Amino acid sequence: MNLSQSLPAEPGLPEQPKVLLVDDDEVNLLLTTIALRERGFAITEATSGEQALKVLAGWVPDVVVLDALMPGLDGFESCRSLRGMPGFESLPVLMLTGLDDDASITRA
Amino acid sequence: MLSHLCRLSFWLAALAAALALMAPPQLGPWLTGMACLATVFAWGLWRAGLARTRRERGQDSGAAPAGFGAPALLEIGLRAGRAIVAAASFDAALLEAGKVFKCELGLRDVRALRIAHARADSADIAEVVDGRDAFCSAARRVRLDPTSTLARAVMLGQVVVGPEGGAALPVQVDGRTVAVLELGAPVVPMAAAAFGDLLALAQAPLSRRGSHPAARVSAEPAPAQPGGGALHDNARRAPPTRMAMTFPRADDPSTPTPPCDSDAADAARTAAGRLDPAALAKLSELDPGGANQLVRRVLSAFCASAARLMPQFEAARAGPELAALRYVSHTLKSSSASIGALALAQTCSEVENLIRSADTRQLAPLLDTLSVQMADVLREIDAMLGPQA
Repeated sequence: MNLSQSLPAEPGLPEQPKVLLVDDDEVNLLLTTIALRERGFAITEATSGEQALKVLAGWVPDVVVLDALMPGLDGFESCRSLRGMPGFESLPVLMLTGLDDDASITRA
Repeated sequence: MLSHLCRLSFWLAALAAALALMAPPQLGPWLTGMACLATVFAWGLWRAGLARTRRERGQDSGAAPAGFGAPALLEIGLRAGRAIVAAASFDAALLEAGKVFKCELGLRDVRALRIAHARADSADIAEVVDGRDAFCSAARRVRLDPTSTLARAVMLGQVVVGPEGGAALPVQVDGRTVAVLELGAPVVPMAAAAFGDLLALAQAPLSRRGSHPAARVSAEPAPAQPGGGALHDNARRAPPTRMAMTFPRADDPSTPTPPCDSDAADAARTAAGRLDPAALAKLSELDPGGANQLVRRVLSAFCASAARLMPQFEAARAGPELAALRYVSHTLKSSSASIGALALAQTCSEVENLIRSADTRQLAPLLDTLSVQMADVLREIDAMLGPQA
């Protein structure tokens, strides 16, 4: 599965917000993970839309960050599938992408 | 005329209202009605006058036009000056000054241009490097319209405000214009003289930054590449126009860039292989002590990503499979920018934009450039990681 679960929250401190980060690119995944961990988020990584949906079948994060352009199930399709899953209708989803055309932004 | 009538109606309404209070009861309703009618008439005249003023200023929006007083303009000038002083390099200073003006004045568009080279034999030809993507696009030869604010600013070395409200702020070093900030017209109309004076406030500090040798260390524009270059800067334009930022269109006043000679090609390759120190420094900030070897891990991740993507790239190129090429260029665009391979990131961006706009005529040479730049970047990373590997 190539998932790397983050460290649990320290005792006595409020639970860290749980983020499912989905990006197929190693560099972007690494940098985004480091940046978010630096800010106190607990990160679970997935490298594809399919993998993210499998993770979500047994676990609910506080927010999902999706890369838009991925091979296989891309960010848009992943988001659509996620919204169709019971309990995920209103889960916050952020689209993280370098696509800067108006159509992609509107679609996201 | 409208304003006089408006004032007259207003005073008539006030007089009628005052008389209504003092008049006998049977005249009261009549005077009150007259006051109301005069008030409505005065309001109508005021709206008509306002609409006419807006039309004259080219303002069709419903918002009342606001202006900038001298203290506000001075404050904006000081902010631009502070941004210029605080910037890490001359190019950064140029971009920061542009940002301040754009945000504070509500300018429709701002672009920063480095004048990389001016043709001695033709005063209206210049090679410019666009500030978009941190001056990483290739230099581009353009023909300057002598009547444009840009050309006049380059040639005169003075701030020029055009008749349509736009302006050009040249930066001079040793009597030569080395850069120009081209500013669109402010959303809120302002006097040309005030606009010019404000921009002139930023001219001296920019010239000082431009003449400081240390400021140029990481600010040299990328050398010329065939087919490369960028001129127009408008982030809100649609994809087809974005493509025109890189490739000249038929209606583009610029002359085509000639093929570069071997020296220029070598220089371009060197620049492509060099990783931007500022980007690497930013990466290091995420791991201040270096205990996690973050830069090393990111560079290794980039190599792994390239090893995965480049075979896909070559296979897609042979097809050609445009969707696969777009995916690879899109993915490499972000990751190469993250490690400071800015020239490669720019090429990837151009490939992505071309495919998105379905115009693949210029795609082949760009794909060649991408391959060469990737090889150079990987070589550079090897050199950086090698001793500790």
